[in-house]
Amino acid sequence: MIIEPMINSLVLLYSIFFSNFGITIVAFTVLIRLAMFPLTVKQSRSLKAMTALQPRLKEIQTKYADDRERRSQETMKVYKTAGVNPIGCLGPMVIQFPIWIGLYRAILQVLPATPESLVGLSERLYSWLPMVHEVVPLASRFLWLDLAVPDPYPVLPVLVGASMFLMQKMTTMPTADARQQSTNQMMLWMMPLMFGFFTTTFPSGLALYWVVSNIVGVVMQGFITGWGPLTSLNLFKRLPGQTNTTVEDIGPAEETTDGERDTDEGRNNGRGDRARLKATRRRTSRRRNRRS
Amino acid sequence: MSNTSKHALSTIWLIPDVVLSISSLHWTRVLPAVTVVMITVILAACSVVNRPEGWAGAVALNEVVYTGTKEGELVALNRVNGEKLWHFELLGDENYQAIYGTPTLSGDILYLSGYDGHLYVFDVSKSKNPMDWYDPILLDSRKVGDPLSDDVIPIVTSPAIVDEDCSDSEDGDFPCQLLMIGSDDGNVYTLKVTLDSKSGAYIQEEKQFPTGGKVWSDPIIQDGVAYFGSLDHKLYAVGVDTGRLIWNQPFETGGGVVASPTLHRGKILFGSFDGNFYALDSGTGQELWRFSGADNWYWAAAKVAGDLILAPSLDGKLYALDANTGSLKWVVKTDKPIVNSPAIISDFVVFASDDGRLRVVSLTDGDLEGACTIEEKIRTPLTVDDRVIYLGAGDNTIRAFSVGSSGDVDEEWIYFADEDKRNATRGVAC
Repeated sequence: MIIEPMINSLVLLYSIFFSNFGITIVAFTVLIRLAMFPLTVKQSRSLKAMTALQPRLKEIQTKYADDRERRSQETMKVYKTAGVNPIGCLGPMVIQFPIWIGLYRAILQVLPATPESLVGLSERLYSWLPMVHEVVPLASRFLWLDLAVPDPYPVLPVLVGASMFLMQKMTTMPTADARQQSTNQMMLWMMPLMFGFFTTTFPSGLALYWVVSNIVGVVMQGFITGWGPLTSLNLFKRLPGQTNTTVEDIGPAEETTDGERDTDEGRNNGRGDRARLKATRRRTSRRRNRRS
Repeated sequence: MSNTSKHALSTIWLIPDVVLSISSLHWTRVLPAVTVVMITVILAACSVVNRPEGWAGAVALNEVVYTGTKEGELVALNRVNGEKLWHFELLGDENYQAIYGTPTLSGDILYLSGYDGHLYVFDVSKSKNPMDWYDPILLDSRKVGDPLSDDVIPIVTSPAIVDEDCSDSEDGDFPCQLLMIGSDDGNVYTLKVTLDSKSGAYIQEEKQFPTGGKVWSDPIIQDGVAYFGSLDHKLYAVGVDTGRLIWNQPFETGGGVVASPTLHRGKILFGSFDGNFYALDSGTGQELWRFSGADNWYWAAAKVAGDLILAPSLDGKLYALDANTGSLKWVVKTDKPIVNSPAIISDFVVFASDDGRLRVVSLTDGDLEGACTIEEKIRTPLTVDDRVIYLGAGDNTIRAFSVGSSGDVDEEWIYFADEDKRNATRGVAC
């Protein structure tokens, strides 16, 4: 259902973009990202809102640790009041999966290596699109790459990993929870490494899609939420906490200067957290007072 | 409130609790990692494997049939009962073990081109009779193209004999033959095979003619001119001696040309990926007419019977065209692509489709006279010898069918290339 339209779209774009399959993949990726732009905006806003709610949710967890029913009721109340759907940010991610799978198969089928696969391609091309029949078979070379096979050099794996890292940086929201900070830090490195590793086995056409998709995603995210995460790029430093803020107040992270050091990094120290919460509330209210 | 109701209510409240637990873990960060693993498994399981299988035709020599299997082996079978007499595995890269080109016979020499990029030369002088059988002798094999390169350049075409005796016997030269082979690197190679009774054979490259795309079209030789198509959309006419075009320029179509051209009374007949079937003047390359009725590509070579052209298409139809005007006389429809050329047996046309049916239709009007259902794709060329058709099926079998005088089809024998299936019980296909 998804593969045939993809195949024909790729071949049609190939006929438009100078019979160059690399440029075709770039164009295809940009079109996909543009089509998903409304969902991407929604996802970003949902993520921001979710992050803003974390301190309050943590309070509820602590307050009603022994009362599961009350805890759940209060949690749903918080979500409802904030107008946040806890699984709302799943949408774009879920849509990406069939695209990845479909694109993987489509690339292998539009770049047939054997006579059998070329005959198979003939059955998938739309007869009412005459231009797609004229450009077959597609040339698979792009720069140093054969887009039907993995990159023989480590270039694309590195590009995929690096672009994914930037993407992760842009979409990671500051949090006060030390445990979540630790998780975020782990995912910041794990995802790029995993994708970079998988790139060594997948066709380089798919890897090219990932690189372009990540770069476009970084640019989109930058315009939606700002470029702060990139300007404060420091590979070995955690993002400082920023808690109990409304959606409007979230901005570049600032360091704690109240002398309260968190020596229990990663552990749930209730007293330390509350003290930090108070300090942040004081800073936020001072900011509001200055503005008014 | 009953205990059951209370329990149910308390369970319902688990749902937001689960959501809370997951959200507190920033599951949007953890989930991608799990999902990537799932996607990898899915992609690995559902991946399209571009492994070559091959669809070589058969060639008959006395009481023996030589053909290729889907496992990339050349086999010799008893023509009467399908018993295997001998097999040969290609010597090249194991990932390229497939045979697409039909073996070519020239006297007692058999030529085979493999998808592994090699040309093989066999002496079959003592391999014609199962009752007095000696295995064929491999005289020589050579990688076509650059033999020092590690790259595999597949060959899909059959070797075409250019000259069966190119030696100058007055100078005491050894016997030699000239062949032409198209290659995936876009070149058509002219190879000289010198036959030495003591050392066997020696293959050397004489010429190469470049095209802009892979050459999957068997060269057809007539009157010192080789005609072949290329995936660069063009049909070429090249002088065998000069290695140069004999037309001002190659004839360009709107799509790739895989079908081998058919020569008929000064005309070149062939189909293209643009869905057109062309007739050209063989001397000038000028277009005489074209038929534009097909809904998909032409893949296989057309056959000619009198003034009737039989052109199979991947749209599943066999078109019967007037050889002089290109007008449509009749058409037979199937549901699946027709990848191979039809065969002519007296007043019948025999052809096979990916729908697994071998059909016998009248040459006059295309009416169905007989059929046999194999339920496997049939993509190999149909080899005809004395009203017996030899073909390979998608289940890696080689089969022989006889066509009666009324068009009825009977299965004569079946050879299973897969040893596991040889002893399995099965009914006769027709």
